[in-house]
Amino acid sequence: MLINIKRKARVYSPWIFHAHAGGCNNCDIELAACFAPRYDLERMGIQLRNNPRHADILIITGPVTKQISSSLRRIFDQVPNPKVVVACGSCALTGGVYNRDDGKPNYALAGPVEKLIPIDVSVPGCPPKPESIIDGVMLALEKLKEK
Amino acid sequence: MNIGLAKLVKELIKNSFRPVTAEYPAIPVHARPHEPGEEVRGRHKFDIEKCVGCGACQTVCSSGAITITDSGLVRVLRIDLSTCIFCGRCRDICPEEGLQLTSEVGLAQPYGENLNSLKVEHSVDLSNCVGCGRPTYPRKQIEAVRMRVLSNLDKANVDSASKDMDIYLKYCPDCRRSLSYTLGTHPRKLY
Ligand code: SF4
Ligand code: SF4
Ligand code: SF4
Repeated sequence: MLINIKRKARVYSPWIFHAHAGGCNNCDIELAACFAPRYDLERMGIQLRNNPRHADILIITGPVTKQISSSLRRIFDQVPNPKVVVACGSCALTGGVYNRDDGKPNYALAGPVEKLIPIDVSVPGCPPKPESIIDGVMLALEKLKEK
Repeated sequence: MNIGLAKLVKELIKNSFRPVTAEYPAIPVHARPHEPGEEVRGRHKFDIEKCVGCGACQTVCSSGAITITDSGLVRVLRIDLSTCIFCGRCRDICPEEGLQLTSEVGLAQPYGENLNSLKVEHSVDLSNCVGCGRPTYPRKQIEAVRMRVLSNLDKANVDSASKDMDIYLKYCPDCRRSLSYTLGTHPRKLY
C-alpha cells in the first residue's frame, strides 16, 4: 500500500536532473525554455533539481565527451532507482554533427550516450523543439509508471 | 502623468489577459499553426514522383544522416532522423524538388522500439549498362539529365546531341570510355 502511494506520488511530481555532456549548449537553452512560462513543464508537477540524488528523470544533452564520460557515469549511478534516462538531441542519440564524415570515430568523444548508459526515451532534433522535449518527458513518465 | 509609466501600466494590464502558456497536449505539435514567415522543419518527405535518386542530398548532408545503398537494381535512400539536424540543406540542394521537410516536429519516442519510425526511406530503380550489365544510374536521373541538357542547347545541336545521348546513356562510364571510338563519342571525333 505504502509502496503504491509512493509510486503514484513519484509519477505525479517527478524531479528532473539535467546533465550537459558536451553539446553545443543549444539543447540546454531549449530545456531551460521548457521550464519558463511559455512551455511551463512545472505546471505538470515537474521540477528541475540540481542534485542527481533527488532526481527521478535524467535528461542528457550532448555527445558524451571523453572528459565528461566518467562524471556522467557517476551521475547516472547517483540517481536513485527507479530512474528514467531521456537522451535529448541528435548528438546525444547518435553523435549527430559531431560524427566525422569519413566514418572514423571522433577523437574527442566517448561515443553517444547509449554506449555508456541505457536510454529509455529518445528526443530527436537539433535542438528538439520544446514541444518535443515535453513529449519526451511525458513518455518518460509512462516509463516511470512501469518501473 | 509620465507617459512611459502610462505605457508600462497599459502593457501590464494587457499582459494579464494575454494567454502565455502553450496548451498541452491540446493540439498535436505538428498541427499547431505557426506564425506566418516562421519555418518549422520536421520529418522529411520524399516526393515519389519527383525524386530521381541522384544523391545530391547525401553529398551535402551536414551530419551524414542520409545514406544511399545500392543493392541489385534498387537504390535505397535512407534518412536517419536521430542523426539529422533538420538544417534543410538537402531540400535546398535538390535539383528536382524531390524532398520536402514537413512541419511534423514531435518525434520523441521510447528508445529502441519502433526504430523504423525514425527512418525515412525512398527507393528508385537503377538501369543496367548495356555493355557490362552493371547497374549504372537511376532511370529517372538519366531522363532528367537528358531533358536538362537538351533544353539548354541551341536548336541546331539538339538533334545530334539527342542521337548521341540515345547511345551513350545506355552504358556505364567505364564502358563508355573503352568504347568511345566505336560509339563515336570520343572527343577526337569533333575535329
Ligand atoms: S543535439 Fe544539436 S543542438 Fe543539441 S547539443 Fe547536440 S549539437 Fe547542440
Ligand atoms: S532528386 Fe533530390 S531527393 Fe532525390 S536523390 Fe536527388 S537530391 Fe536527393
Ligand atoms: S536536414 Fe540537414 S542533416 Fe537532415 S538530412 Fe537534410 S541535410 Fe542532412
